[in-house]
Amino acid sequence: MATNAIQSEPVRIDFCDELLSSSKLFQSRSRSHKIPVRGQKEFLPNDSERQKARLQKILDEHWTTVTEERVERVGNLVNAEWIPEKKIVTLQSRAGKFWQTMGFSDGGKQCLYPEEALYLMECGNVQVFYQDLPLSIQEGYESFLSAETVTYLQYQVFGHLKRLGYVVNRYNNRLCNKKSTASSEVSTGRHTGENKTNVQYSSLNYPGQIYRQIFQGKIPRSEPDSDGAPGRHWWTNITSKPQPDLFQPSVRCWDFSCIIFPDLGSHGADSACLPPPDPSLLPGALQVQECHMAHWCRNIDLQQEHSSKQTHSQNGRLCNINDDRMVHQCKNWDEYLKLVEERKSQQHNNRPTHLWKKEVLPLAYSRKCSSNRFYFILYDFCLLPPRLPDPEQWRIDFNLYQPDPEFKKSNPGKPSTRLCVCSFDGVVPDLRALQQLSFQSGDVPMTFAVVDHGDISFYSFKDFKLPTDVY
Amino acid sequence: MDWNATEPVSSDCVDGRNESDEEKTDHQAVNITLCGSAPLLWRAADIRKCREEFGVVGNLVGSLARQPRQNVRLGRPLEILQEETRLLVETGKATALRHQELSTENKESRLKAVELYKARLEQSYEEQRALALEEKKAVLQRVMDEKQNDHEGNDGAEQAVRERLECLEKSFLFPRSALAVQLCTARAGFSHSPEEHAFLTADWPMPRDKRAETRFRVYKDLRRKGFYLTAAGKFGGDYLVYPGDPLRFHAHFIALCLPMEETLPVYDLLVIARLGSNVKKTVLLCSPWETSDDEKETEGKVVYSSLQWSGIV
Amino acid sequence: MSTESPEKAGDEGPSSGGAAGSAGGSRFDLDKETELRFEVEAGERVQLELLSGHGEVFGSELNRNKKYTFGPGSKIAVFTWQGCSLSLSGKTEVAYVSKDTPMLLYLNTHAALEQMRRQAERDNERGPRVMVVGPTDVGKTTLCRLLLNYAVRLGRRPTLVELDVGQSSVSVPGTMSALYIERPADVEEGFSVQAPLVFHFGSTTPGTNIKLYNKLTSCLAEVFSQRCEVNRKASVGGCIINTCGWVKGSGYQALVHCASAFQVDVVLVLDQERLYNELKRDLPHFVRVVLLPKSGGVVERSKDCRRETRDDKIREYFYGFRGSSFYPHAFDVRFSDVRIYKIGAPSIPDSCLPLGMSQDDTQLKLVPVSPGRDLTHHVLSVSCVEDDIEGGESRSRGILESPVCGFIVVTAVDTQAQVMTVLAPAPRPLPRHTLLIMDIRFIDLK
Repeated sequence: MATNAIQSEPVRIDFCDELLSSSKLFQSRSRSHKIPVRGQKEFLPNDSERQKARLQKILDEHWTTVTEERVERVGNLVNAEWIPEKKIVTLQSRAGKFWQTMGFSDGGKQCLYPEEALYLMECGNVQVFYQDLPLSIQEGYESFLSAETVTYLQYQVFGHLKRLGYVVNRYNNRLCNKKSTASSEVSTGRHTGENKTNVQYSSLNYPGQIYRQIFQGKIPRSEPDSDGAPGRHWWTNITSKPQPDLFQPSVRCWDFSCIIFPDLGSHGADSACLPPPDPSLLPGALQVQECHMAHWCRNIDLQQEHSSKQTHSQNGRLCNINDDRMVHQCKNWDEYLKLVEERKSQQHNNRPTHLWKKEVLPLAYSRKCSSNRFYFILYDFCLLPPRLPDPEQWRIDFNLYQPDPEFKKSNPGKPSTRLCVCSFDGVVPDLRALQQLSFQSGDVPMTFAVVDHGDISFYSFKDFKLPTDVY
Repeated sequence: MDWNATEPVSSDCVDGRNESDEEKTDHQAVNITLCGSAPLLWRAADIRKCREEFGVVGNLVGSLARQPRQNVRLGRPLEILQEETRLLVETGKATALRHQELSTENKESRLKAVELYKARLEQSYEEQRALALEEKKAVLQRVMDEKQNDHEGNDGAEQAVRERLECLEKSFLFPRSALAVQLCTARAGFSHSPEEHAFLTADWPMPRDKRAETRFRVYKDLRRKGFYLTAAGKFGGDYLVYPGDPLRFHAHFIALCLPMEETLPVYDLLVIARLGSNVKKTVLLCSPWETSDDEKETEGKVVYSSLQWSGIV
Repeated sequence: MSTESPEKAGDEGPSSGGAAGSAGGSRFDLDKETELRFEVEAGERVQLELLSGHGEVFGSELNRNKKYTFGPGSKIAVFTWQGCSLSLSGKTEVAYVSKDTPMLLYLNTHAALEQMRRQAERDNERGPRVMVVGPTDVGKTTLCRLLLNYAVRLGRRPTLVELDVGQSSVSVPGTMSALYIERPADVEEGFSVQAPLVFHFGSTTPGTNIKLYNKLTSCLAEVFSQRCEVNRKASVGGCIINTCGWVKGSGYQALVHCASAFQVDVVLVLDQERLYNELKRDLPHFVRVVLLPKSGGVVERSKDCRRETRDDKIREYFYGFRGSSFYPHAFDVRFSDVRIYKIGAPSIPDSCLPLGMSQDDTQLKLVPVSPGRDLTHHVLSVSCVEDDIEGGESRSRGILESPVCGFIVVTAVDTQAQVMTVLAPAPRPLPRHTLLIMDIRFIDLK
């Protein structure tokens, strides 16, 4: 065997004892991929042989799995190169299936973030080279993980979630911000879906369509009972059919000088006398007499005098809206409501129309958000300097998406949660930090991944509604 | 990168049970590398040695080589506690190393290393090809043998087999893509010269404050008593205390380290006591005696207390 | 409050209801344009029969020689334009004939509206949208019914928009609804309630959640407008909006909001000049605000009486008119099968709200209710919202703005078994599984 020939070669003391021989490499293609099962734990050691034997067996299995090295066929490996200056890994052969959820293109090259590359190294999918030599996993950990990329803690969370099958990507691509415009493609690709505010406002379309359907008789109903016992069904269909025709609501105003209402409040009502209405307007072609209004004027509830003062103070305005010339010019509701709307917006701001009325919409309308939220949005988009002490201490690290075969990097949709990685040794975020993060996160929930020596626990703070008596 | 240092070696050292290896690991200190502030063990032999000899359990945090996409069982590296690191280093059992920059070598040695790597790869290819051929032959031989047994007395059969084997030898194709390569877990070798080693020996990053000191003394004491310890952040404590190897035994205690003179409100005390009852473990309040220079005998002594409800109704 | 004392003028028959006749009962002969008003005593029933001439009850014509029965507490006015003879049998609290009715004014109002409908039909425009306002107990509902009846008798198809959450004439109390009217109201039962559009409000007074009230008003307006766009007849028919009797403060603001949401053309103010003046001031000039007197027959209803009417309305939903025509179903519903919400979170001080959130937001919030014993007897609306809609914000919006497909009453709750027994109009299963709780309780006693 070839191995025997090599064994005789001199060996330096500090050699790596973990390099596999060719025969080991060759044998490993048929090795087991099963994870040995550990039995129920015991409570106390009693020095019995049985216990010792069991422990030894489990330890043996443990060492076997821990010692095992990754062996892959060259054909199954994607080669990549570590670019320390850019802190990214570029692919040198075609990307594998992982490309659906990981990586990005930069200047026509397929790239991976260091955490992605490291994870794929651990999975045995990618072999990363640096200066023509492959990097070990250890070197990957030591070179890829840093405060500038992702930290060791963050990587642990990243890896944990990736192993579970989630799609995880960076929340704020700090790399992109740092890099020059040369890699603008990166940022555009990555930032889709991060413009939370835009998404939120545009998704507020009014679901009027639904009502229309329902009102026209598509109300769901349960099966009518067949036994014939009369019972009221859930609301049933409307029988009339819609008659879509050429009817167009147009702008119009009624001429109330021709349409006479018996208005007791109008001037001279006390002496007015209404002519008998045209019988054709009345049910059963009634013929009635003229109507003297004087009688009724005496009976009306005259609360006007003693209450007028109170009313004015209550409503805080004395003027009749119709004294306004502009209002008076309105001939119908459409015109009037338009006027009101315009005035309202004028009151709020004298915005230049080119900024606020074009396709490019502002990130936020000050009207729509209270000062705080507005502030956070601006802060989010780096328009304002942070006013909170050390905002860097608490920041969102990752977006998490459910595993989805249809997932698209360019259009990832709404993350199912965002993650903030912290350590058990660290301090608990104060309420302000929590608020800040949840505002940044928008309508996506925030989860805190707390790492303790490799143990990861996920916590989230929830708005808690005290159960109260609802009645 | 130290490919030049790792002349193609092969032995059964992988499982580390071979005698010469044990000798070696004996006089070879465990290497602890710091990733951020986390002390990590990379070499399987180191991990094994730490557990078996020093009772250092730690937590595996990497993907498992044989089945990377799951979290039930993890693989190397092993993250250990700061206290464990300190004890190992202080007792000379281990060296803590800052991680090595990738580009610390000069160009020349780099080129040499690349050459060596390529040569090794080539060699490995040839060897694997040979092995594959051997295997194929063996299979063929076995099939033929079976056939021969079926048709006894057929002289031509042996001839046919020989021909087939020769043919196979000539036409055997072992594609490059079928070459199996190792994706090393640990850095391939540590051939640091003593100077280099000294250079890389990490500055101790652990803060030596009161709390760390308390934790360390409690750790030492519990270890000395033969308990296995792991981190207990999830349980809100400092250590989980196991009576035996955590692989086989449940933890009995949650250790909370409290300096002796620290006053604790009853409120906190109750919170702590409640903590354990939820997970059916006893909470230990561990307070080391204050050491003064003249009281050498109390050095290392730790007082353990636990709270118990006293049922006076 | 009746503005006139029971008048004997023109009363030719026996005046008091005590003298229940043996065969035909008491006979009343009415002159033209007079009305017979009577109230049925508690626990009694009264039968009415038109012997000759023409008579109508709130705009619905009486048929000759048909006996109409009115249950206890009914307050009825039979009006005649031409004169008629009536027979009453049974115990009435009061029964008298009055000459002093504003019916002629109401008829003139109808004539004006009909003129508008004609014009709308001719010009391909939309018909009149009328809002009826006024304090409590001035006959708003009656006027609406009258105007709708007159319109439908002329072949129009008006829509009744019922915004009075306390005393809904369409559905159970605590709802806001719209009903497309295709035939005159039944003298005894009122409008036939087929396929109304009902929204859940949850309480009997708009004040409990004025924000929701205004929101649902806008929803109804939106749906009505959409309907008008596709249904010409509905558009020409216009709508009559019945409102609450709360005309001050937020209640008043709600009226102004309603006027603008529905883009009303005519506002009929009953009885209160102050309200009339305020509306003239706060509504644009092209809205015709009309002050009308209330009828002398209108009486103030006591709180108890209102509660009873509400109860009756719910009973009617389950058992049908006079508890005879429907048979409700009782079955168990597992807690896990339904989601119960209350609209509107309890208000908390502004300082306790999360940054950037204002109090208003809480009024439209859906608060999940965990089922418990206290659910017993509550009326729950079954929302039409699709069960499978997901997503927090969009979902709550959907539920809020979705109509209701029916109601159930929780008759018993078994927290152990995690089930509740419900009274439902149809057999199991529930058509939808999103339930909205009402403040209103119904105890099925009769």
